[in-house]
Amino acid sequence: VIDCDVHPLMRGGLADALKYLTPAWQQRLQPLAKSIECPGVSRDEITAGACLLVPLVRLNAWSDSLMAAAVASACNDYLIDEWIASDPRPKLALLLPSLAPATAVDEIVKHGGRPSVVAATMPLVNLLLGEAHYHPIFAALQDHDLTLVLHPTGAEGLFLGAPALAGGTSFSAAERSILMHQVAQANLCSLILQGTLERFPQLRVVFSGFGFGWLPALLWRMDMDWRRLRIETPWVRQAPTEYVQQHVWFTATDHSELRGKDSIRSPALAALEDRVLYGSHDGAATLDAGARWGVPQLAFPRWEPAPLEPSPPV
Amino acid sequence: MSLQSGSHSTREWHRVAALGDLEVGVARVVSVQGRSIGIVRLDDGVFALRNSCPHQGAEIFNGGVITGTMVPSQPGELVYGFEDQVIRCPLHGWEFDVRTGNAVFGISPKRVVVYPAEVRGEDVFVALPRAAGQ
Repeated sequence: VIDCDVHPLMRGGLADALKYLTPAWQQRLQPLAKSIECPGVSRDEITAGACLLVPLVRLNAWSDSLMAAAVASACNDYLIDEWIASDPRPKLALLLPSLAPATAVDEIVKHGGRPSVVAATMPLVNLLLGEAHYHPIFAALQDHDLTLVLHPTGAEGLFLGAPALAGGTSFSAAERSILMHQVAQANLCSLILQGTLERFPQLRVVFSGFGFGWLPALLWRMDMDWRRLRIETPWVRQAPTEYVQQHVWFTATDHSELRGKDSIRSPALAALEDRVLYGSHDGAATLDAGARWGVPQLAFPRWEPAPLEPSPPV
Repeated sequence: MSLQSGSHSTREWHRVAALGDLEVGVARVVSVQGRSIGIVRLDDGVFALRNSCPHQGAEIFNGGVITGTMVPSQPGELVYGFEDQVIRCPLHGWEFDVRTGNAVFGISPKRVVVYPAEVRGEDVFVALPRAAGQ
């Protein structure tokens, strides 16, 4: 089992990684360090034989892009030393600060050559991914053959500067969770219609934790409006669905819309099955081996199989 | 006897307009044997297409304009071309090549039906399939 959605826990939050900050940033962040959380599971809670670690830090809740850059860099150093240096099972998605593209590129260059680094993750901000702001980051990802993994941090729809959810400010975490797919839809639309996947033809993107039951309706509308309004974006050279089939993946657990007992079943969804990667979100892999899943090695070509060894006891 | 569409034995030529009455780049809709047909004069010839969009059957030449379109380009660039060679449907904006009836740049495998058209002297003729029993 390869689990493509596991979040590594830093028990003390940024306090765990304080030593990787410069002395000045240590002074600046020490009082806040425990409140800067990186929630998830500890190493012994992971049951899959191989997994992708996607650090979740609410960098997109902060307006201070310098702080986001410093924290991302320290978290990467920590996770490399503590999680992947001595354990062949986990691979890492580097944490990138969306509003500090120069730092994001530096992190990719610094760590992107490590065999255990196969991806990068970037908390989304209120600037859609098709914008030129991200071009240096995408160029660096493409150069290092790293896959971009997008995952909600919980700041969406809640903090100024994080992506807004449609209609207004939702009352509860439940409402935000229900509506979170809007963020994925908007960014997927932006990546395709702004020509990002033409500009970076090797770029691969995984939308993780956003579900995908909404995808057939979005793709139908994107294809239809592309035919109708192609003159607005003539660089979109094929139907949007084609870009998804070539560049984009999604993650789901057993309990998601596709395979759970309450699943949505439609031919349009079934046609997208191989774009869906298994991701437990909580490290407790319960993969239904009989189901058809996307092949992680296609989404993450840098992912080389670890030497065979028995999984640790659950 | 050939059953091949468009062979001389299965189609019939009809005079549809005087060439001098057709303005270059402006479609004229004519009715021939109950078929509504758009006639388009360009600098290098005259073209005849069924007045029906293959998407949802809209009368593509009633309100549709003969225009150019944006050519597939690099991201962020607009390049205009094919002036007077594209018919854009008024209903949903689908665009077709007036010379071939094909949807532009692969937006759809559907195509507008094209009839053979010829200029003979000062007159424009269009060939339609011969009606059954004729």
